[in-house]
Amino acid sequence: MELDDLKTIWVREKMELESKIILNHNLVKELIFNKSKNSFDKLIRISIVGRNLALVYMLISLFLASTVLNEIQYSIPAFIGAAAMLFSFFQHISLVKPDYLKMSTIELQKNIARFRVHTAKYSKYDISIVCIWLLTVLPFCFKYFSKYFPIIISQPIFFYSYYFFLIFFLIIFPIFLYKKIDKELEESERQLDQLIEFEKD
Amino acid sequence: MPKSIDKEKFIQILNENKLVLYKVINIYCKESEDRKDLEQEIIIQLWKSFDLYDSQFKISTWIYKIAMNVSISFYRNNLNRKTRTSSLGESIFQVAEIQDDSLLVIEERKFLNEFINQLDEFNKEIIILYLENYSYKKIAEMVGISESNVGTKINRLKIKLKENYVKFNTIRNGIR
Repeated sequence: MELDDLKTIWVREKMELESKIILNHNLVKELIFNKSKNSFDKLIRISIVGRNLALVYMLISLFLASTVLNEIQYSIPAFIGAAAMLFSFFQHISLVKPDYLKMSTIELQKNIARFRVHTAKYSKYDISIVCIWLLTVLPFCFKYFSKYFPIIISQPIFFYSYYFFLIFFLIIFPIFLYKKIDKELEESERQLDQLIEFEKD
Repeated sequence: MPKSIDKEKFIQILNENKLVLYKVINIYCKESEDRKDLEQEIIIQLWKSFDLYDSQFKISTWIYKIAMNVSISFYRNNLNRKTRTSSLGESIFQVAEIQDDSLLVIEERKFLNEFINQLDEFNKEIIILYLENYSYKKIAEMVGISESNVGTKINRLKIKLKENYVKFNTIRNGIR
């Protein structure tokens, strides 16, 4: 059997299928009407929204800092939070949407694999940055909250809850999350290596 | 979103190239539920790229390029996939009842499908484009590798085909 024999089988099958396949027009119209998005587009769109949200969080921190410039125990952490968010924004500035039309198969798959590697690698930084930002914003919440509810704020249970929250989000939660991220990173790097190997061959 | 494009024209193009799409979808996706998702993802991507279609290229080449790119992305992502795009429950490409074919035709097709199924996602693309009479140069351009690399890979596929055919014949003769 030669590849040309396979071509003959292929062509014969195509000729027979031609009259048997029916296109569901209504479903196509419905899809177009719904302006659906494919799954990878959704993923990259979420990432781009997340990147831009970092700028919003930075502005929130700057605003909070500007309200208490003289109280450095509040304003300096708020500036640190703003700087962390700005750093996060620039980390993800390279995110671009894949082009299914202009890119070749290998180029597109490399782009997707690199995106996944990038997302997995920086997820750890992103978690830390969000935690740092929360830590810098929480004192503001307590400050304003204590104005209206001084009795609750002075209760020990309130502080125990705060410390529990910090320990959970800064130590326990990342341990479980990092394991998952490492697995995803490993898989994405394997896919990228596979592509490079195929290209070299 | 290509607002200016006539939806009917888009559907007409899909109709003229339904076979290309059907073959690619069925080669890259075996599960019927996943197939519905892949069908939808390809149609969505085709619709989104329709405005950018350059008429100096054949429409079937444009369809192949997008269909392959979406299918391979879907295929590579499928193992880790948890969410599904499909919400419509129906298939875009429906196949009318198949008539009884001769045993030889059934066996030939079985061999063709089994051979393509065992290949990885990139070699699948190469063989499909080869069977569709694309030149080595065009295959190289679409896949994103050099022309000589395409030649090497097609030669390997030829060797693999011969080996598989020997195995296939041995099993077939054993059953008879």
